[in-house]
Amino acid sequence: MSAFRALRNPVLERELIDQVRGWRPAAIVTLLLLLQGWILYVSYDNLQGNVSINNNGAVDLVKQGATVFAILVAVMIGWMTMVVPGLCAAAIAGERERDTLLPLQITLMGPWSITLGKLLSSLGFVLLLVVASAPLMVVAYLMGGVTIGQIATAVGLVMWTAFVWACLCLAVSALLQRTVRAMVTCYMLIFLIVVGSMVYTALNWRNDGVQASRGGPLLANPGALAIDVLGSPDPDLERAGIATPFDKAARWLHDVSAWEPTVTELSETDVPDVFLDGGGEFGGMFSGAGNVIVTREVMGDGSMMETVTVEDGGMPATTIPGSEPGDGDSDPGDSGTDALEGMPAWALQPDGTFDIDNWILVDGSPVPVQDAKMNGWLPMSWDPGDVVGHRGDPAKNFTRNALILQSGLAIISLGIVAWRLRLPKEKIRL
Amino acid sequence: MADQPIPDAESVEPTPDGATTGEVQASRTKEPPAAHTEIAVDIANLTKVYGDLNAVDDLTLQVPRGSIYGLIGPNGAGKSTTFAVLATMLKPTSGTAKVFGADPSKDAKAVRRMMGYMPDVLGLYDGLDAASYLDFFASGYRIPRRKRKELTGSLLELVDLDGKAKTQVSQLSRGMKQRLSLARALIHDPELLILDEPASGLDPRARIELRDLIRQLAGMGKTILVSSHILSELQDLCTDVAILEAGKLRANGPTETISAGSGERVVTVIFADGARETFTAASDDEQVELLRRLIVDDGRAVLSFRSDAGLERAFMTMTEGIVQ
Ligand SMILES: Nc1ncnc2c1ncn2[C@@H]1O[C@H](COP(=O)(O)OP(=O)(O)OP(=O)(O)O)[C@@H](O)[C@H]1O
Ligand SMILES: [Mg+2]
Repeated sequence: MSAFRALRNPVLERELIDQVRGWRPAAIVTLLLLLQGWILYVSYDNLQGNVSINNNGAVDLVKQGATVFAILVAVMIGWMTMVVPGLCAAAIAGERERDTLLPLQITLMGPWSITLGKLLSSLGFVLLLVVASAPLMVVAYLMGGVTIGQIATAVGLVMWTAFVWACLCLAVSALLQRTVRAMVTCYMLIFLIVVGSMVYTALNWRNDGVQASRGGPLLANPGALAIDVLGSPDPDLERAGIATPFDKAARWLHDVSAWEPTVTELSETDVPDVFLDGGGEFGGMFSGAGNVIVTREVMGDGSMMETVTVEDGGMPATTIPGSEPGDGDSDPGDSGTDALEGMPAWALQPDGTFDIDNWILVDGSPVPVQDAKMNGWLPMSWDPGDVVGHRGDPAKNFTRNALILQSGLAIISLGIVAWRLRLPKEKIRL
Repeated sequence: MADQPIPDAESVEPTPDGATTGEVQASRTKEPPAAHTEIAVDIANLTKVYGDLNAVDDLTLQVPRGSIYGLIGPNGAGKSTTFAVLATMLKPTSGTAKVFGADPSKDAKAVRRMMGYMPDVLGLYDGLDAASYLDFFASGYRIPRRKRKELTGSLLELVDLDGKAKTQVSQLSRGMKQRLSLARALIHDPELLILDEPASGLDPRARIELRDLIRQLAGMGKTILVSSHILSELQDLCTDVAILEAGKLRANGPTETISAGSGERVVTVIFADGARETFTAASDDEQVELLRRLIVDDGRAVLSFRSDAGLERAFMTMTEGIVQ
């Protein structure tokens, strides 16, 4: 009912006509299509070279379709980020500047009606962009590796990005008097959210296997939401060489921004037996500097051969070949060597054993119990054997929290617009 | 100039010939009871303070229903500020204003239904033609689509722009834009029209046309509140005037009373031979006597005369000569 009314909004009607006039909208659509077409062309060229080389060809095809699609979507999200401020910054400041705002405000439309009209008209243009790039998405679909569901999700995320930006920019436009100033402020605000959130996160990310950040400002970034939803942080994808740019980004995002990490106890199946047993392979001088490195090799029969190397002072100190035969990632209920990967060598005791009680898994990565306590992931009074009692799936949490934060921002922004459009006021510019 | 009344925005079914007078009357009786008061606009102790400046200072005045009420004052007198309060745009610091009994600050929607406002700045979208411009505002006033075409047509005709319906607003002359702006203020057939310096920037001919148009609107039963610097024009046009200066009311009442208040007037007489002489007269009677003497006693051929008495002088006296 209210949606129906909103669609019959006078501002919306006028602006939609306004927007498709002139050369600018046509130029915006054309440029986007050219860019996407070029990407598709380059990828297709690549594909032609790859597809028939070996029996990995099928993998290449899938990877290619998914990658092309990911790039198309990323370009669209980027495009929205560039175009939407231009569309919305002038929406209200421009009317103020042309002295058309007051006459509009004293009609019977009401502030919310004007706000929705402005919002929907900018989204209308965004919809046009999405529809215009539909044929290119279909091509990506035909290359394989993408499902209809993923396409629908991606389109939704592109629209969501445009929606969030539009709301923020409309608020800026309503708060400022001058179009030019509103435009500059909009771009600065969006730059701050996009780049600022990434820089902040990168700077605050302690690159020692401990997630210091809990999403933080990244949650306000619709691009991060898109990465989180469209990409999979699963490291196996990368190992298999089929990770799309979104998957790689999602891995980064997952690493740096677990909002509420999942804390689980390290079980004996997480660690190769040799470490639990104290195989005595270590010994002699061991400084504890360096990391535990796991290398994998696919054998002729398709099974995975894993080699655990412990560096000491940057040099491989000990190598335990095939430490756990058949203990690959495919082995259900046994994550094998994963838990040890990247772990500092000092986790190991001089005799080469690993004290499982000193470690806990945070989002699948081993973290010293003490660090987990300091980060608030474990109660200070926690002892080995106590129930961990933790928590949600971090990826879902990011999605949920980002959606909540971004909806909140959008609604507050629209509220600001409607509030600014309300008359009578204490002071007006006649 | 078209003399058809514009169709009522809310409830009138257009008749084939566009004459809707009967229905307009009928719909008026459906207005809220407050609309029956004889006072259209009731301003009591209205004050608007900006910092330490009293833009409007304890203003009290009543605008009788059906009058053409002129608000005169030099720049910065507070005319636009007063209008902004009435037009539901500005909250007063203190005091009250009522438009047909409704308070613009509290019941803005009711006032907006009854009031049409023409600002002194022309806010016109470019890229729209005159007809679509009016159509846009008609939809803003929730006038059903099927009625809009006829409505905008008759409004354009009323303001003599029917030939310009498809012309881009940006390409209209200033006078045309002004009339389009007036047509916009009329779109929902309001009872009260607030016109802020509608004649500014118009050439003499356009001014006279505008004056005729305002009279015509008054003839349709609308109450009109108009501000201007062009005093002689208000003198001819308005039934009542108020003189405002630095936010304060200096004088108000029926135009003749205010004009007479200044006593003497200046009569410029132009004779058929091109000569021009200036006389003074202390009253209307004395002016009649002066002209009688010139024409009958002296037998001179008087081509025309101008009587600049009244308001101009009253204005100068009352505003202590601060005017431009
Ligand atoms: N938003 C504002 N902030 C501060 N002062 C204001 C504001 N709006 C108006 N004023 C002041 O209020 C006073 C009255 O202004 P107003 O526009 O009502 O005068 P006016 O009679 O319409 O003048 P004009 O003939 O120049 O249009 C002026 O001194 C003006 O500077
Ligand atoms: Mg003014």
